Amino acid sequence: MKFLVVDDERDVEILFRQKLRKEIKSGEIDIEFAFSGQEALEILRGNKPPAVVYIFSDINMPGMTGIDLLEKVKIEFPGIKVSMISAYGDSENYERAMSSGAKGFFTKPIDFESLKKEIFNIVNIEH
Amino acid sequence: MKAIFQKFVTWLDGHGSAFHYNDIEKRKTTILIRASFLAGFFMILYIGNCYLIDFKVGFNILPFESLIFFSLPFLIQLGLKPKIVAHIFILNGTAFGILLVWFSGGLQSPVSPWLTLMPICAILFMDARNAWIWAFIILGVVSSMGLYWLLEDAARKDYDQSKDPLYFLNCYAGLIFIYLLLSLIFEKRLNATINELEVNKSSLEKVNIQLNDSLDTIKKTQTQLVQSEKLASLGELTAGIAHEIQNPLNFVNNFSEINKELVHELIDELDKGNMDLVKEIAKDIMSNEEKIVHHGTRADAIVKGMLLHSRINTGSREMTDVNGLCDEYLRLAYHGLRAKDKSFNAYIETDFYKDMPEIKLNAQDLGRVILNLITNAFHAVRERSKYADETYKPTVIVSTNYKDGKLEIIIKDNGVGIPEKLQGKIFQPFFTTKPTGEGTGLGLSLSYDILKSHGGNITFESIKDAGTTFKIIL
Repeated sequence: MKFLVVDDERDVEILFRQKLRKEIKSGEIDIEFAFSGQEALEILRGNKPPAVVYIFSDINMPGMTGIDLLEKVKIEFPGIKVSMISAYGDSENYERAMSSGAKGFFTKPIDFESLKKEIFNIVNIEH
Repeated sequence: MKAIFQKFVTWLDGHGSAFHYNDIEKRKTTILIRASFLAGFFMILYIGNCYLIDFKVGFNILPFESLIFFSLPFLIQLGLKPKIVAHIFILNGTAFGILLVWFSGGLQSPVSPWLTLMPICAILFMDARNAWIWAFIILGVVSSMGLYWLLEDAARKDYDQSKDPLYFLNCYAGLIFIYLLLSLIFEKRLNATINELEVNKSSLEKVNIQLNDSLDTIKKTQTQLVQSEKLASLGELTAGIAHEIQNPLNFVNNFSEINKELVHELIDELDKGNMDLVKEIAKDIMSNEEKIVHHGTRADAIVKGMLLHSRINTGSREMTDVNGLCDEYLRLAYHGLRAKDKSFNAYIETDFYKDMPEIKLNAQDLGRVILNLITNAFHAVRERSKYADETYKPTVIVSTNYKDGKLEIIIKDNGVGIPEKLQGKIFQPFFTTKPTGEGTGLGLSLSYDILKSHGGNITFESIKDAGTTFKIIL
């Protein structure tokens, strides 16, 4: 299953790849990375239908924010689930994300255990 | 008795309220009034003298002179200008004096020295110019009379000449007395003036000390204001900095955790004897450690930068990576603004000169300037996005250039722009277009001062509702 992670910090990719290396190695999941909302949309549009089924996106990014991306994805690719990752765990961001259609909300520092649980759920549901 | 006399003097000195006197004029008018009474009184004495020496002309005309003198204070009370009254006084004395001289022996008359009093009275009542005028008038008249006496040989002496000694004695005694009085008056005036000057001098000295104190206070306040401006801009940074530190710290924690797991795996594989795998895992651990060091250093640099920003500037110049400085402050400003206003967003573009050399400058100062300009740019685009339509993309572009030994930093935004009539004012201290409490108005003026002290310059171009471009040249 293809996951897309969107964050303007490049080391997030390395972090994810290391944290999920077992799952990636076993082929259960495949992770793609985008470093901006724009790049994310391009990746999604690259395949028709898009291979990605789930997106984890940072909120605070220059240019298109995570929330903007969420709204666009909900319009263009309603089947793809989007969860937010953010350093700002305040209620305002949470409300906005949820009301725009986000599936989940993870705060930084990322608790990879709960993230893994989420991924595990998704993988199981799809199968 | 003294009380009655005091009352009399006060009444004497009462001036007509028709005129607004300054102190000097008041003094002169007071003297004029007193002199008039004195002169009137002296003329009465002189009438007695004329009786004694059988000077019929004097005896007849002097009552008139005396009367005129006595009337002068009342004329002032009635509202006649003191200067005119002074002229009347002198005219009175001169005319009657000349008449008396004519009939009592011309230049040989003991009355003629009394004519010298007239110009002195002019000085007392008016000023030196009038004194000169009267002096020349009297000299002229007396000279022509003298000429006449020369030609006609004799002047009239219509009195009992056997009484000459008495006449001369009385006249000279009176004159000496009056000269003494005049000297006393002038000395008193001189002393009064000196006292006044002393008083003025000491009060000026007091004022001077107060002004110096005020100046010190103002300088201290200015330093405080500059410091609070620094703290204000530091406060704006805090949210941005917190965010900026959070990320590297997260990485340090996360990669350290991963390495813990990897070490466990390493031990497992060592036990199993899979050396190739062990080497692979070791390599991963190594590269993770490098990441940890990288992010730790990053956080360290951010904190150092923050401390630098708040410290009192030593003004020292170090070799600085200008591109890095711009990038760091751009991100800090961006996150700082986002933390304050979560709905805010803007596109950031950077265009750094590829082969930018390290340049010797005071990083704290330049950083403050860059931060100020970038923050202003963000505010401008935010303001515009409040009323712009959906197609508006708020953008801030930071670019650097190095040409002919000169460093250029350009901060461009497509915000609200600066209206033409305000463009001349933006570098003025305390000038701000932000509502109260939102800005100190010192940012640009401090930036300007900083750049000037570096031998650099700051210029800008702005079009209303289109954007602004600031250029720093060092």
